[in-house]
Amino acid sequence: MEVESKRFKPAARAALLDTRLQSALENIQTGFPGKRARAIDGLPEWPEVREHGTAIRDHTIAHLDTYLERFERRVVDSGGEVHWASDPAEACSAVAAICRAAGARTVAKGKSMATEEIGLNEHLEGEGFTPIETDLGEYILQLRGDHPSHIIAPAIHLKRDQIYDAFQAHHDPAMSSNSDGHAELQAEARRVLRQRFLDADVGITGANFCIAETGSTVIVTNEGNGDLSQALPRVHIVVAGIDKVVPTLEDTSTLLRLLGRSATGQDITVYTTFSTGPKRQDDLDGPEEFHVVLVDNGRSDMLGGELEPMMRCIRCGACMNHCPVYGSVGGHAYGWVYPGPMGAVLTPQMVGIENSGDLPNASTFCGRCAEVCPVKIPLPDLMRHWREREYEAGYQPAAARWGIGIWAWIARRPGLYHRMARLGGRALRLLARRRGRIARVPLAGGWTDTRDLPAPSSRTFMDQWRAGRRLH
Amino acid sequence: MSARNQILGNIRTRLGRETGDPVPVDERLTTHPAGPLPGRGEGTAEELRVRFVEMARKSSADVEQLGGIEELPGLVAEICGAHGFDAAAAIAPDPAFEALRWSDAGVAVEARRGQPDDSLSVGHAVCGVAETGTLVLASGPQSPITLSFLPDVHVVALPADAIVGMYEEAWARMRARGDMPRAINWITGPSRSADIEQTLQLGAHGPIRLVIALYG
Ligand code: SF4
Repeated sequence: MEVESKRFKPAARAALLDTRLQSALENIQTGFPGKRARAIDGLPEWPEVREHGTAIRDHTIAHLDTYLERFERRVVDSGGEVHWASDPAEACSAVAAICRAAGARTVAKGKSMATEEIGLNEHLEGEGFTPIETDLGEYILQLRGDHPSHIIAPAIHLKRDQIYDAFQAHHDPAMSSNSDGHAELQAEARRVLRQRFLDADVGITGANFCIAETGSTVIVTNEGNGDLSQALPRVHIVVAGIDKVVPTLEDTSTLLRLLGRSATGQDITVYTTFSTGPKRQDDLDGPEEFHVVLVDNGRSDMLGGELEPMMRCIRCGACMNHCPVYGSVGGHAYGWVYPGPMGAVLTPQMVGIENSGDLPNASTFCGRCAEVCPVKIPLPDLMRHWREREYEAGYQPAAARWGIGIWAWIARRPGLYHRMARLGGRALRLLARRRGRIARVPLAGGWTDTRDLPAPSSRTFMDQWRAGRRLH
Repeated sequence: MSARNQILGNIRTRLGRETGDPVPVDERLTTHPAGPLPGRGEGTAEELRVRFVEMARKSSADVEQLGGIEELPGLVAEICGAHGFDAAAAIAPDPAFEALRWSDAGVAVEARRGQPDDSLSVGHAVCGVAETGTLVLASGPQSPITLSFLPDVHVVALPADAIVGMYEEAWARMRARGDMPRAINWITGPSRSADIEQTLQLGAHGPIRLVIALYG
């Protein structure tokens, strides 16, 4: 996927004006935060579990080299193979080589952010393979030539009629129903994808965890597509970042208690699958080959420095679900694979600060992301780190730097921030006229412009966010 | 330099050391200490059974209480009738299932892996976890995992004395069985997706209905 993060400001402005997108985004603000809060209420030990989960991640990071070696050894012991890739190109060629050796044509894919990150689909297509996304959301995006806008709810920016149109345009010979009801659309996708699973020679999934103790990879899903992707094809390839390694089954259990609750507000997802090696003698199903591709892509460079806490991330999405900026502009404005606060930290690391434009400034500094992060990543501090690097490298014009300071100052004073934002941005505009600079503040420009528009963008970030919370 | 050496080398350089430190790693891998345990996973056998049923139902699974496993064919016949399916089932090739009197209940069974057009399958769980109402299934010659994902309705037999409180106890049971099987499937409720407008729909790729047949 092309990196378009430099265009954050214009993209954010356009997103604020996109009424269809705004109505789709309301689903996030009213859904996820309340569900998460209720799930956490049901686990009184949450603070201890969160503390322990953070400690597990820190311990693993401090011994990452040895844990990776132990994981590799256990995968090999159970009959699998491990491939190491420093960058996206190496990862893609490793996967393509396995597909070639398997004589593959069709490749069924479970949902995986790591494969988005390395641009695997484009690479496989270029090599003559046909990758099929099987997660319902990812499948819809693939039909539309679109990209995920959320790490766990990839198609959250789309409305039903757009999905119906995508199926109409691509499903052959006929749709099973003329209705664009939720149930009918899902049934239609199930019908078409069933056949695709059966046609596939290779199944590719990501991994939420790689367990050093057993050489197992773990995926969590609600649909069951990740399981069909590894049960039906002859070859199973797992693509995982090197940060996914976890010591033991017990440690994995602790992190699973954090993951589902933080992500979708489920105590646990429907399917949690531990895959260890290829099928055993006398097994009636399962893949004959099991490969794990471990991808670095800038991760190891985060160790030992200020960004190291980002290696704890378990990709739950809570930071974006609670982010007023993400909730207002959606994931695409971030311009690359990882959106929201975690994306604002990871994108500069993976694609370079010079390609990341305003991402580290895509924040109101409200601090909600760090509060909800199940592994206590100080996201606002890490974004600040990138702003400083940006400043040192001279990628930010002086006016913008100055403006950010003001914005930060305002945002740290909630009363003032609310009043200014709600007052139709008049104060901001006045300020801008007097000082001639504040209009360059990230988002403020797009924000104040839209103040004059009718609903749905007539409420401020905070108003919308609070209204969402009040529902629960 | 190979990617492997480059990655491991860079990790060591960044962490400020030349070699790995295997002692704390291997100690953790051998002792696998448990973290903080949830109080909801504690209680008497009866309390855990009640909690398991409550949590499984919360995840939209159906729980049917049977006097014994011999009542399983009758339950399957009933479910087939309720859904208008032919009275047929794909059952896990487990001697305990094959010995049941399926023909008395009028159900035609085949002991095999799952097929794409199966309406109903019957499998068995190693244990159930009360903490979240989760079933733990282990793949093996007597437990093909396609039975859990291809049919429309998945029936899972679970003896009441196989209910444990929390995940850590499930791992203790798995360790007691020996090596990790190819797949361990934790299943909590039927398949679902909210990818269309965040509106939850059951039966995405896997079964639309999960029935837990709790017996004994
Ligand atoms: S940064 Fe924290 S909240 Fe955000 S995805 Fe990662 S673990 Fe979740």
